[in-house]
Amino acid sequence: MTSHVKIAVISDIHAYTAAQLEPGELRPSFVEVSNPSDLPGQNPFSALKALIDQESLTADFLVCAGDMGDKAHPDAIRYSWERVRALAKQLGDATIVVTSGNHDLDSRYMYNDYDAKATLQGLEEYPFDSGAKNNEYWARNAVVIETEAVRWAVLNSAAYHGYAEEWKHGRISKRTLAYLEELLKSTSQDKLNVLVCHHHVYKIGSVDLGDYSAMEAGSALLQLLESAKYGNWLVIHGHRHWPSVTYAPGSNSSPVVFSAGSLSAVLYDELADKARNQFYILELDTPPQAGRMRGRFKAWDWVSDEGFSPAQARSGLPHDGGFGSTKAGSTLADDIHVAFGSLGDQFAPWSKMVELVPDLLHSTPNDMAVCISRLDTHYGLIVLEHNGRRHQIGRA
Amino acid sequence: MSMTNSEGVLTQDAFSSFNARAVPARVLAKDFIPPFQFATLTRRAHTVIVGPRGSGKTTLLKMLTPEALRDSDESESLQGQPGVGFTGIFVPTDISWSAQLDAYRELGFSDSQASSLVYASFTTAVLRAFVSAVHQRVTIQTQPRLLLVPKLAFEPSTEASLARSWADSWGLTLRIPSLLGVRAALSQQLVEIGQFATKERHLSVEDRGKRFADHPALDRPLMAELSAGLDSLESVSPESIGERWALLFDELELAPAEIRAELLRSLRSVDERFLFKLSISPFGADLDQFTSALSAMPGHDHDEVSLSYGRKEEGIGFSLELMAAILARRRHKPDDLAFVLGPSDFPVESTVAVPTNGSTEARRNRYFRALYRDDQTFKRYVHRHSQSIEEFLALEGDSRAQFVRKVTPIVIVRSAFRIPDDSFAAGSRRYKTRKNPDIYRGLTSLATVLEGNPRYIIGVMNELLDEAGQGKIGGPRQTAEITRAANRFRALLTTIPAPVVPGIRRRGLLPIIDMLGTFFRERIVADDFTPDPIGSFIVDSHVSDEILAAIGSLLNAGALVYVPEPGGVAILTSLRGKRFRLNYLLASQYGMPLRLEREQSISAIVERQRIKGDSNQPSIFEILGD
Repeated sequence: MTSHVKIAVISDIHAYTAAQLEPGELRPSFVEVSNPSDLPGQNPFSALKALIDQESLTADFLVCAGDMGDKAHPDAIRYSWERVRALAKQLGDATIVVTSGNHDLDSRYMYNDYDAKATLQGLEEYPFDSGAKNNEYWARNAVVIETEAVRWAVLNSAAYHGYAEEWKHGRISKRTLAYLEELLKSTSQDKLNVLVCHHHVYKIGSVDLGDYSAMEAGSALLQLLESAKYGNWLVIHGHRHWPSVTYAPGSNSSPVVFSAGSLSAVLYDELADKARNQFYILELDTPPQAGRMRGRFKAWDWVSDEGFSPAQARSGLPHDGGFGSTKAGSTLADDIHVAFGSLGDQFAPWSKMVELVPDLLHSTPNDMAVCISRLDTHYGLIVLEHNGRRHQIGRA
Repeated sequence: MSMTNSEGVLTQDAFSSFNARAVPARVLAKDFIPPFQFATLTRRAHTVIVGPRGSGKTTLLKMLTPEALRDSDESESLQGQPGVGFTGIFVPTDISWSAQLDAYRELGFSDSQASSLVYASFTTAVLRAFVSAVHQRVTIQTQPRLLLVPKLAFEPSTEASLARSWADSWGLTLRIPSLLGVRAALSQQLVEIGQFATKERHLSVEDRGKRFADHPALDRPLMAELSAGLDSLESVSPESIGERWALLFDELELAPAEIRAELLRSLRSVDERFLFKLSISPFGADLDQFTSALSAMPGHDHDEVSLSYGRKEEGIGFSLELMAAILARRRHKPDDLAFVLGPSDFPVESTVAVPTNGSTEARRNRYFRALYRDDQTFKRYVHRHSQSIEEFLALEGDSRAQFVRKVTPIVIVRSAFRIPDDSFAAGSRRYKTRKNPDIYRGLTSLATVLEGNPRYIIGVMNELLDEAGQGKIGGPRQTAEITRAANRFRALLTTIPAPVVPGIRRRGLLPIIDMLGTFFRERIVADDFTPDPIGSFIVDSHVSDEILAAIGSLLNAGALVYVPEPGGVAILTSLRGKRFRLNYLLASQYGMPLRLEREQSISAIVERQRIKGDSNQPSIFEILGD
């Protein structure tokens, strides 16, 4: 019998304190920790609390994909970690799956003497609630955790920050990759597989930010995951503040890559009209089926002075979406055209289309956009959306 | 693997963050605790609903919509409520209308053209709300008991026909002939009105009048459009003939005067199928015009509903009910609110059963004995009625009610805040400046301080329960939270624009509250003991326009509370001659008792404070550095 695993995702909080800013320096985030507001329109964490209450949201896991603080400020990191833990509790005692971002490691020794990870190691139960696992995380940079339905691989892609120019990018070393493979060999092969890291494993997004910070040797990691020797994978990462769901290059066995947007960072100008601060809940079917990992997600936007609401157009990810379908958007449009024609009405609820074309549930936002565009241009079929949700399809 | 989380709006944490405007009606409905006024709102009558910020106006209006009532059968708190025999059409005021109006004027449009553009947005928004309400009726799954109008059901071809009819009437381009298609087309029309205005800026002014006249969305009479829409609906759904439709206009005070004026004109509609239920702040220049227009409308009665409580006994029942609901929701078990918060020192006259015990009485007696020891003027009062304090405390019957019980609140605050006679030098301040003692703790005092205001209650209760774990919430914790909430309220007041008031050097609304609070504290705590001190004010005829404007703003913010005469009308149409008191949340920060005290004219208070130079006297907040 199929059941679901729910994973809440936040990333790139970039909390800061007003005191760390240089005169004239713009704030990096909407979370300022020296005098944090508890108004949802001013503090995304408070907004998240309100959203979870209002929508009765729950999750089995809470993923935090790094960069809790900005420029490694210890107070900011500590504040974020407390809020992350409170959030997990509010979601129904969700298990936290956290990894470290480049801004969490004091790679320029601003606050610690030659120990970039000192603040993180001072946090209670970070990243795991087991001392042995924490030692493994810091020593081997990769940990595999098995829960009832999910095998989690947690990778510290910022492990070498503090050394030379490593702060410029992420990395998975050969040694870490080999260690990870050993862990995967020795653990269960019949669960959902999710890898969490901070850095992106390949370049994503259409905006050129002069970005060279992707994970070094990310392709080797992808090759390991694509081999499907250890099942099919979902990768969740942050870092770019660019929300997207893509399939890694390669084959139909390549991992699904969920790039989480930032929860609360002030977005670069180049991103400002293409993405927003977002929060996600992913839902995966368990036990896993053969083939690419299938799932659905919901996304909410945080809007300054308002709080969280269902994600809208040009937010990065839409409110409702999915991943895992192998059908192209144009094929989906053709299927819908046939299904709609079989009803004989001028309009139909979108839910009816989902019932007749189940792949819609698992198509990526990009495939969905292609599908909706083709429906209009080829078949004169319009899809009505309201508050980030598709409601109805029909023609005039 | 996941736990069920049934929490809703009752678990919002921030004192001033909860605003029903952004919360879907279905979410509000989950936790709705109806105040006694709800039954009046469900009547098939026109209604003006008046209340300050946070008093629950928006929630009450949204609770009249089919969306909110959809799951009402599952709500225990709604059982026993009368049904809603109309379809509620919720129309929020778009706060951008005022800004749009200003922007259009600045861009060179004439006043009438700017009004025309904004009114077109308003009309389109109302039509969209109407279509949404019809859609809500269509999508009802199971007919809820409280919604007395039945589910609407259309064949797709009928819905398409209705959608086309509306599109023709309202000048819409339909992409899908359905209810949702009409709603989307109305949304698009809103966008196009803005685009039309943008384009107009670059076209010649000479022909502008004609282009405005030709535009299908401009200068449409709202009620005629709605009536035509309803005619179309009734023609495809004859079973809906005879139904009433209630236009629920929320937060009208935020709408530009031009829209309010147009709405007033709409109230002269003779289409009896429409009811009007309007929510508005306690004081506004045209409130009396709305009430007069509603009372003059044919076919229906009109009701006036107030959501502020000049006398604490009126609101305490609702406060206690909502507080208990929050406690039950947060603790997932039937904890007794009285056990968690403990008894209060201040007595309360209420129809609600209020627990007291021997220790409450003993504590009150300690206040009396302490004041008797420290305050010669109180001692004289006691000796006018008995030989000794013990004999005084043993008085019974009418004497006890008249001489002891009546002065208990005054005795508590004087005992808590007054410096003993033998320890102050002549001319020095006679009240203590230490942090508040825990005199405002306990079930009924907390309920009183929270003024029956859902936003205060939700915010404060959740903060208290966040930190309390599972047991009792101690007095110091309650006191700290009251102070925190009051501070946040004061911070909010600093954000409201206010005129410069002659005689008060500091600008803004807060100095006026400070002036009143310190004046009342002087009378109640520092002056010679009297069982009937001054603690409220009347707006007399000598008051300046600046003070009047400031009082209006303070009323709308909820910082001042209107006290109608017993049996009097709760709706204010003018400030003059009316009596007001400080909101108890703020009053607690000046060491005031939680009851209505004698009044004095506001001009006399301003004059006295001006002469005394007290208008800049630091408040208890500044003294304490809170």
